[in-house]
Amino acid sequence: MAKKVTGYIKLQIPAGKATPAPPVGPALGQHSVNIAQFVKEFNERTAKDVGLVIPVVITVYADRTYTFITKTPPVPVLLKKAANIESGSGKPNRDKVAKLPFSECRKIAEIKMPDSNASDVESCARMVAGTARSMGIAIIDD
Amino acid sequence: MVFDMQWEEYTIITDHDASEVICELLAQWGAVGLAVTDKEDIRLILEDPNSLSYADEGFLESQEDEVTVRAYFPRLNDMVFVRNVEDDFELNFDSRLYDYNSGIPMEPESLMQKMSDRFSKISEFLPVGSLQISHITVHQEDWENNWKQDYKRFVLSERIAVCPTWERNISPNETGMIEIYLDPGSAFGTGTHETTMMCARFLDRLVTQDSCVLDLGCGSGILSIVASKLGASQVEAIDIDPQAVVVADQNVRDNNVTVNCHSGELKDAHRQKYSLVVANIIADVLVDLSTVIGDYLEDGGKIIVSGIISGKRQLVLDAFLANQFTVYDETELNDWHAIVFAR
Repeated sequence: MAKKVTGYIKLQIPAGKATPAPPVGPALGQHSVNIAQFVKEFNERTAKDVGLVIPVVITVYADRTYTFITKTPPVPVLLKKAANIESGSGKPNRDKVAKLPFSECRKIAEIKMPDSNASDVESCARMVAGTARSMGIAIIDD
Repeated sequence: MVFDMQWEEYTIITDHDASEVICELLAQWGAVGLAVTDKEDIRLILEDPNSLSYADEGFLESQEDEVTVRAYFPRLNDMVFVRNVEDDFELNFDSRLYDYNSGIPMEPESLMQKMSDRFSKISEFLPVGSLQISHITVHQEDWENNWKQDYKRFVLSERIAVCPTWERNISPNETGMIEIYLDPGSAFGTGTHETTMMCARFLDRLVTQDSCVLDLGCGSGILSIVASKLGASQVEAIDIDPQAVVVADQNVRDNNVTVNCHSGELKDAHRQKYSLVVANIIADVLVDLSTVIGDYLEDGGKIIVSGIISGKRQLVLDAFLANQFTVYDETELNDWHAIVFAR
């Protein structure tokens, strides 16, 4: 059916453990979405990923029905995995916590391209490198 | 007294590029969840050629260019509770003194200041936008039920009314109308949208006990349920989206009707011929349908087509007329058209 979009929101919530508490309640309540139904469906669909935080984009339609799609993991999560670190640096300009070759940024950019507004992989990779540096991960040319 | 759960909601206005790093930091500091409004998310959906979603002209342009991130931290006794902030914040107290189960207490204003300082450092590496930060206290509400307040029983067509399932037991049906029970969920079609409403009204006029109905693009299954409640002898519902079929199946069961719901396309239809087809999709898909649907119609069979915005009416009309259909009936409601073709 032709579905007229009236609202959208991206939520980052733990897989399999959504509840009507914030952010779900306030975010979906303002669009009058059936919150109990969303919580049940989200938990069913993400049950296999418990322990991860899954970004989902919810689209709300004119008749108050909705759909949601799960997105690729956020860039910082992919970077931490690639660099094998638990968290970034609190003083990214001074204290570096890891090093990554630029080719790793390109790999992450390829994963992110479907969700990205970047025109090509190279510009997406530069955004990934910027994100890495802002977390105290030094990017080395390769 | 009911315990008043509280959260502090921090709103950060920033740039698309920096938003993921900011979210990462907020999550690390113990935000219980994040809600992000980023027009790029909806742009990707609207620009996807396979998507049936569309928005009014100017919708995307009307959305804020900057990204809004909302983060929620537990709040108790005027303090917010954070975790893992030692690397990012200059703390003027010994965080080791605090019990890590509930986190480290901070004044809400002080946390905002720390956020501002830390996020500013990102600007050396990524555009951070205006980086406006504000915070408010959010109290526990009955989020699970509040949204129901403005969703009530309504008249869908001459003989049919739609009743939310939670109203079924508290207010009996005294109108003499046929009721169907349906809640808004994750498949399109509650009957409040024009495209669905016009189809239901045509079904109300066209369905008889001999009708063998195919509902193509069934969404929530509402039109199949309507057809079945109106007495159609056979009803089949197909949707390309398997999730919609799960929802439709549940709605069919809630209404105690028999509808054969399955995922697929027209070529997956179980029967060779139907007396009535209803296709509430979009104009472009209907145009494609016009060349093949005739093979699935009995002699004298009809097809209800809907989901046609004003500017596309002629396109659909021309396509069906070119395929030896005639217009049997037509209606419009707020810029939407629905047409019944016969062949």
